[in-house]
Amino acid sequence: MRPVFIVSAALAAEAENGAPEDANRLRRMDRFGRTGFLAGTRAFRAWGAPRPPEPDARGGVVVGTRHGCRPAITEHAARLAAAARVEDLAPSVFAATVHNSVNGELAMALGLGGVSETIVSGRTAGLEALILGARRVASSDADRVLVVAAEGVDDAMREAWGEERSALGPSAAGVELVETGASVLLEAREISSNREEKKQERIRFVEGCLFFEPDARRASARFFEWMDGVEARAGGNARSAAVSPCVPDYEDFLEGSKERGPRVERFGAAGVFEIAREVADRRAQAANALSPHSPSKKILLAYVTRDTTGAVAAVVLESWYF
Amino acid sequence: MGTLPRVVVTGIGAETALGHGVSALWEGALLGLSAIRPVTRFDTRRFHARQAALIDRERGPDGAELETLFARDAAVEALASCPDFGGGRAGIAVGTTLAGNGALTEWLAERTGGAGALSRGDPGALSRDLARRHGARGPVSTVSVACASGAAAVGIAAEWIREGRATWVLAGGADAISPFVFSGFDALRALSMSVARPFDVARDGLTLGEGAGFLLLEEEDQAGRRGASILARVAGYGSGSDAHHMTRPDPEGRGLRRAVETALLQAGRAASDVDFVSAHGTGTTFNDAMEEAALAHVLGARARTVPVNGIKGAIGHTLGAAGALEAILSALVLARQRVPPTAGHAKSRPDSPLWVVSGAPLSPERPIAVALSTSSAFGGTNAALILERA
Repeated sequence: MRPVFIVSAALAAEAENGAPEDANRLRRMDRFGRTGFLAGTRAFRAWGAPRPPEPDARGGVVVGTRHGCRPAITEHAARLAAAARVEDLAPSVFAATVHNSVNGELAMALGLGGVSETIVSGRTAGLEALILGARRVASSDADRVLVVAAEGVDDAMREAWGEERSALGPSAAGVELVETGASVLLEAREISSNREEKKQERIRFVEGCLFFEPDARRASARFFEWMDGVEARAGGNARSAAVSPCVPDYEDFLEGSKERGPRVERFGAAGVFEIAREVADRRAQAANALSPHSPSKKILLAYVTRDTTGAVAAVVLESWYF
Repeated sequence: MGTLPRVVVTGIGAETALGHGVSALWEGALLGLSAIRPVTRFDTRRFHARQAALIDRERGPDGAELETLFARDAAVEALASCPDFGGGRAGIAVGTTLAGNGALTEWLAERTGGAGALSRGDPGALSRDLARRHGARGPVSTVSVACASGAAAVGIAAEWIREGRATWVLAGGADAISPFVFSGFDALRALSMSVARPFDVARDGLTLGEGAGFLLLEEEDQAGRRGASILARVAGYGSGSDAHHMTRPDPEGRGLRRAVETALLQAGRAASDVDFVSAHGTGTTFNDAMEEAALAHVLGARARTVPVNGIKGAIGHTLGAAGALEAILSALVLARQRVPPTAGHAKSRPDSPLWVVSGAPLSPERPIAVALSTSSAFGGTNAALILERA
């Protein structure tokens, strides 16, 4: 297995515009497609990788989302309800009602002809996608994988979220649903090609874990047992990992943890969003050689997501400067 | 694969329009039967097409959607000989294109779903339903790459076992047909006006189907220890993207070629080892031509000597279940050394590079040791599985 590095990261927020060359593609996408596409193209282009003339068999896309193309499904359903005949429908809208629409659009725009996989496992989907993408690179199925996590939010989803939030109880009060796109680019190559930075940071994917445990306390115990193992395997250079809960913790899953997770709901995009934001922050700090936040030792960063149904996905990254 | 654990198939389960269970699928396929009928579940008068391969079933008393019921039944059959399945080393991997659509469209139409409507439209609910029912506490995941979903779920499940995340995984796919999907394919003019005829010179489109297929994948050593009957091995999986068009396949089939080549590499096999192909074979002009081009390229001159089956003429295009049902068919071909005929296929175009088994089942002279199962999907996603005789 090869070491896997995060070499680029990007975010996309609601109602953002894309690059001019992507305007035609963006017009045919739903909100999920646009947020995922924007985040993916930004991470890819920020890294400076050119679009190959022919699809690159060694480059792929792995996407994680809870609701995926739900906005396009909603639109096709509305059109169907009003249609007197099939000609009243829009084939292009139906074509967007597949959860791998972001994979297809990114593959075409960026010339990525390798692996194409989409995970739709609730709030754990984004980190699952990251684990799968890292596996593809580590096992040499691909040299470069763009991992994208996205949720597009339309009015019908906001309405439904209001109902779901109520059902989750007081711990969910005030939690807002936020449209989110996030992306990280994984590569096997160990050395960053971005020579402009004064101080270079490496962020390596260390391990990921997936399990299903409906009981929150048992899930917490399994998660921390896994973390203990990761820290032990990381050896003497590593400090104890900082654990970042990436989703609102409605069940007190990380009982006793000071970190209670964000008060916004990004569903399947949550885990990759937190990582992409962290990477972007660190890159910004690294651009300033005098930054007091640049650690000289290796540190472990843990990210965990838990779906309210019981699924858990977590990853540990290792970060250091050289 | 070095010292990595080998992955075997120790259970299979199927729900298709040919009937309940694997035996209905296999016997129906051998007889060349087609389950394609005029649609009575919903009004098709707005549409051009009128036929599909649907299962005569109603939603469950607990409100469970049809795809969930199909998945539950197929899972029970796949686990029939394995009462101990479950625990922290047991995983679930489900592929689906449409799961959750029924609940979502119902809620959209009436806004009466109440609390939980967002969750009921969640495609990931399918795998978690099976995890709860069968006590799986290992990795539980739902994969959705349109019509390649079932194959991807099987491939990812096999990788979980090889990398030590699980020792057994229930893997497969499920989908159900509704006016939503029927209308969409009809709007794209992808549906046949009669029945799907995979690789036939007169093919005019696909016919939708529904159902579920599940395989119990297991670490070979564990299967041996518990004395399980082994049907086949899952040796390789590959994924590849056309990077060409959202709904039209790359005419040269380059994405599918990449998927097949990756699967062969993972299996440690050469294209010359392939003895049987369970093709995606939708019966559309573009898909079948793409697949002919891809298989001709990968298999070379041997393409005309490798028997090919396309099951969609019998059970329709079952979308997210298709890749899993075709993996089941491949496992049965390997175990029983017979190739069912392709229902709906009568005559290939004169210059077709493939040997599509037609009319009657084939008992090949050369033993079938390696099977290739291919899937292609909207979004330009392709998946391939390599299965080996146990």
